Amino acid sequence: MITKRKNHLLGDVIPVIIIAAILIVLKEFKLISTSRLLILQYIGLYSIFVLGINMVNGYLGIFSLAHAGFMASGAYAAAISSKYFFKESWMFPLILLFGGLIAMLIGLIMSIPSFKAKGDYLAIITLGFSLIVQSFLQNWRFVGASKGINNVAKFTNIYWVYGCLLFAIIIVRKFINSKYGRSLKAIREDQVASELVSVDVKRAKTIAFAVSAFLIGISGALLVHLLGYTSPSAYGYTNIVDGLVMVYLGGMGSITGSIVGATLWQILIQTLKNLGTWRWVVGGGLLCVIMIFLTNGIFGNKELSDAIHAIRKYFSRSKTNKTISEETTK
Amino acid sequence: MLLQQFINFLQLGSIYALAAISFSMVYGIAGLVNFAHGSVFTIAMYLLFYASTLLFKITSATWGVFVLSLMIASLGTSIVAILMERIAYKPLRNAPPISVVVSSVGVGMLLEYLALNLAGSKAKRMPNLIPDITIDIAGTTIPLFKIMIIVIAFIAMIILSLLVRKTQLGVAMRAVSQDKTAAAFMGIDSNRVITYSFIFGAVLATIAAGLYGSAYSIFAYNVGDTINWWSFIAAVLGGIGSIEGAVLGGFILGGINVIAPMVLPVSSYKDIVAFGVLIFVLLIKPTGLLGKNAAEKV
Amino acid sequence: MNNEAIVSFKNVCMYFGGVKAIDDISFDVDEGQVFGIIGPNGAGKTTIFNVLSGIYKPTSGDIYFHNRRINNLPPNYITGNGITRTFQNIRLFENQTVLDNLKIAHYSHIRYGIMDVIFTSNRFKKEEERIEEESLAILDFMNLTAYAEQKAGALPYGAQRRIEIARALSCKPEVLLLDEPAAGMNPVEIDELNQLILKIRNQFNLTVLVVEHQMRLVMEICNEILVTNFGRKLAIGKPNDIKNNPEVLEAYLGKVKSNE
Repeated sequence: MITKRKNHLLGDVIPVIIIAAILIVLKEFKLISTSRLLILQYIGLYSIFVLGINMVNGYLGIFSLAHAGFMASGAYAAAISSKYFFKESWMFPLILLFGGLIAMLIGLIMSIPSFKAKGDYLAIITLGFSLIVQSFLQNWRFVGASKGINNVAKFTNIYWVYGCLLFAIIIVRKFINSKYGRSLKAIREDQVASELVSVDVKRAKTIAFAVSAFLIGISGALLVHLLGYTSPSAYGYTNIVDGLVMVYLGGMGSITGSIVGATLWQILIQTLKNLGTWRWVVGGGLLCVIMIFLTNGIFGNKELSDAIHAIRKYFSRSKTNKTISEETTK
Repeated sequence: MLLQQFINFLQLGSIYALAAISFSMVYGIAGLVNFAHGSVFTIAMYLLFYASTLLFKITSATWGVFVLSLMIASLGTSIVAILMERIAYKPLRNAPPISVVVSSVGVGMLLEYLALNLAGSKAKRMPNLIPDITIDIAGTTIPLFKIMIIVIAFIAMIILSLLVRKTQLGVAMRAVSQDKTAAAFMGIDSNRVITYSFIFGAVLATIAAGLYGSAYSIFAYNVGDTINWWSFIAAVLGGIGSIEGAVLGGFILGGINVIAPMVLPVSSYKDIVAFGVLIFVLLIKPTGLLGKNAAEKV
Repeated sequence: MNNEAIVSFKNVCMYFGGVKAIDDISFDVDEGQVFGIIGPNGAGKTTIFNVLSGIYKPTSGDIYFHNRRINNLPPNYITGNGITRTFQNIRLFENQTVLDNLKIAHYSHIRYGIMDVIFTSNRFKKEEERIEEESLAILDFMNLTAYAEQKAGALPYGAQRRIEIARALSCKPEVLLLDEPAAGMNPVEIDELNQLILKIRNQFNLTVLVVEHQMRLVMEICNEILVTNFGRKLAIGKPNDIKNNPEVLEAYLGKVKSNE
C-alpha cells in the first residue's frame, strides 16, 4: 500500500534547532577561530547560491550559465540600496529582499530565451547574459566601473546567513512538492510529452528562473555585506565555473546535494589554501575523479531522507535475513 | 585607414575562425562542450614560447623557428589532448552529457593552473615568429605578419576542409558526428575517430596560438579563457559542428571586435554587442546561422 | 459541417517542405464514438493526431473542437481543455513514479497559485489531497495500484501502455487519442485492450480516436473508420462498409488478406 510521507514536524524542526544551537554556541562562546567562522558563512551563503542554480540546472534540467549574472545583479542592487537608502543594520532584511527581487526581475526576463532555444544554444545565451552583466558593470561609472563598490556596511553575520539558508530550503522544498515542481521534473524528462499532458511549460520555466534568480540574488546580497566590497571581476568565469562545480558535485535536483556540494567545495578550497595556486590543480583533478566515479554527483537526485529510508530498509532486511538463516541452520 | 581596419578585421577574424574550428571539431564529433579546450590553447602558447626562445638561441632563421616550434608545440598539445580524452572523457562516454562537461571544467582548471604554477604568473612576451617587415599596399603601410596570419589561417582552413571532404578519415568523422551507432554498424571505430578529432583540434589550436602570439605577443596563463569563450560563441553562432559555420562565426566576431570600438564610446562595450548579436541570432534561428533545424519527432 | 460533431477536420493540409503528410482531409467525429483511423505506413495517421493535439500548426484548413476553432492554440491548452493523447512510442516520465506521472498530468485543473504554494494554504493542501485521491482512483480503475510507487521506466511494456492511458485520463479529457495502442500485442491481449477501451469510454464518457494497424481492434470496436493513404482520405464509413469498399480493399485490406 501507499504510505503517505507526511512532513514530520519533529524530523524537520529538531535538526534546525540543533544546528542553530551549535551555531550560537560556536559564535557566542568563540569556540572556533574567526577564519573558521568565515568558512562556515561561505558554506551557508554558497549553499543558497547552489540551491538557486539547482532550480534551473537541476530540477528543470537546463544547462544555464546565468547564475553569475544573477549573483552580480543581486549583489550590486543590495550594495547600492544599503549605501543610499537602507543604511541602518535593522534594514538588512529589506536590503536582502531588494537584492533578491532585482535579481528575480532579471531572472524573469532571462526565462524568455528558454522557451525556444535548447541545450548548448541556451547555454551560450545564458553565458552571454552573465558576461554582458559583467561587462556592463565594468563600464558603469555609478557603480564604480572596474573598481566596484567599496565600504559596504558589513551587515552579514552567521545568523543572517543560516537564517536565509533555512528560508531558501523551505522555499525550494515547497515549490518542488507542488504542481510547479512536478512540472519542472516532467519538462526535464520530456518537454513535448509534458505539454501534451497539459503542463504549461512557459509558466513552469518562468517560475523556475524567477525562484532561482531570487535565491542567487540573496546569496549575492549576503556576499557583498560579508566582504564589505564588490567588484565586477568576481562575477566572471570563475564564478560561473564555481557554481557549476558545486551543483554537479552535490547532485542535480537535490536539496541535500546542493548543500553537500557547496560545503565540500568550500572546505576543499579553504583547506587547500596553503597550497597556494596549486590548490586549483588539485581541485580540478579531484573534480574529474569525482565525475568519473560518481557520475551523477554525490547525491544524484536523491535527498538525505531517501538515504535514511534506504539504510533503514537495508537493516530491517538484513535482520529478517538473519532470522531466516538462523531458522534454516536449526 | 579603411584598408588597415579591413586587414585588422581579416586578421582577427581568421584567428577566431581557426580557434572556433578547433573547438567545433571536438564539439561536433565527440558531442562535447570541451571547457578544457582553452587550456590546450594556453599550453600551445607556452610550448611555442619556450620552443621558439630556445631555438632562437641556436639560429636566427625566423621562418625555420616558426615552423619547427609549431611542430614541437603541436606534438605537445596532441599528447595532452589524447591523454585528456583517454583519462577524463572516455570513461564517461555513456554518462549523462553534463558530467562530461563538468569533468572538462575540472581538466581545464587543472591544466590552466598547472601552466600558471610551472611558468609563473608574470606575462610573457612571445618572440617575433614572423619577420618584422612592413609592406606598402596602395600607400598604406602594413606589417607583413598581419598578411601572413591571414594567409596561414586560410591555408590551414583549406587543408582541413579537404581532409574532411576527401579522405576516408573525414568521411568517418562526418559519419560519427551524425550518428555514432549507425557509424559503428558501418564498421567505423568511433573511439579512434574521436581521438583523431582531439588531435586535429589540438593542432588547429596550436596554429591559432601561433598566429595569436604573432599578432599580440604578450600573454599570461589565462590567455585560453577568453579564446575559449570566443571560439565557443563563434562555433555556436555559426552552427555547432559545421566548419563553414565556425568560419562564418569567427569572422562575424572579428568584425564586431574591429567595428564596434570605432562606433561605440567605450571600446569594451564590444563584448556586449557581440553577445547581443549572438543572442539575437539564436532567438531567431535557434540552431545557429548554418546549423540544421532538427524537427521534433513525436 | 455537422454541428453535433465534437471534433471536425475541415480541408486540413499539413506539408513538410514538399512532403504532403496530410492532404485535404475532412471528417467529423460524433460524441461518444470510437473512431478509427487506419492506413498503410506513412499515410499521415499520426500527423492527424499531431495537428489535432496542437504540436503542428496545419498548413491550411481548420480543426474544430465543440465547434470552436483550435488550430492556433498551444498544445498544453488543447490538452488541458479536453483533447489528450497517448504516444506510438511510449513517452512516460520514466524516472518519476507512476503516481507522479499521473499527478503531473493533473496540472491544468489544479486550482492553486504560487501564493498558495509559498504559504501552504488550505487550498493547496486540499487540492494536493484531491489529486492524490483521483490519481489513485484512476490507477485502481486501470489495475495499476501495485505499481503506484515504482519508477515508470522500470515497468513491463504492457503496464507502461496502460500507465500512458491512465496519465492521459488524468487530464480529464473529453476526447482521448490513442496512437497505436495495440502495437506489439498478441490477439489475446488485443481482446483485453478492446474491452478496456470500451470500459474507459463508458466510465469517463469519452470520445475515442484510435490510430491502429491491428484490424482485430479496429473492426471490433470502432463505430466509424477513416482510411487514409499517402495523406489523402480514401474512404470513411462503418466497419462493414470499409471492409467491402473495393478501393480500400485494393489499397490496404487486400494486402492484409493475402498475407493471412
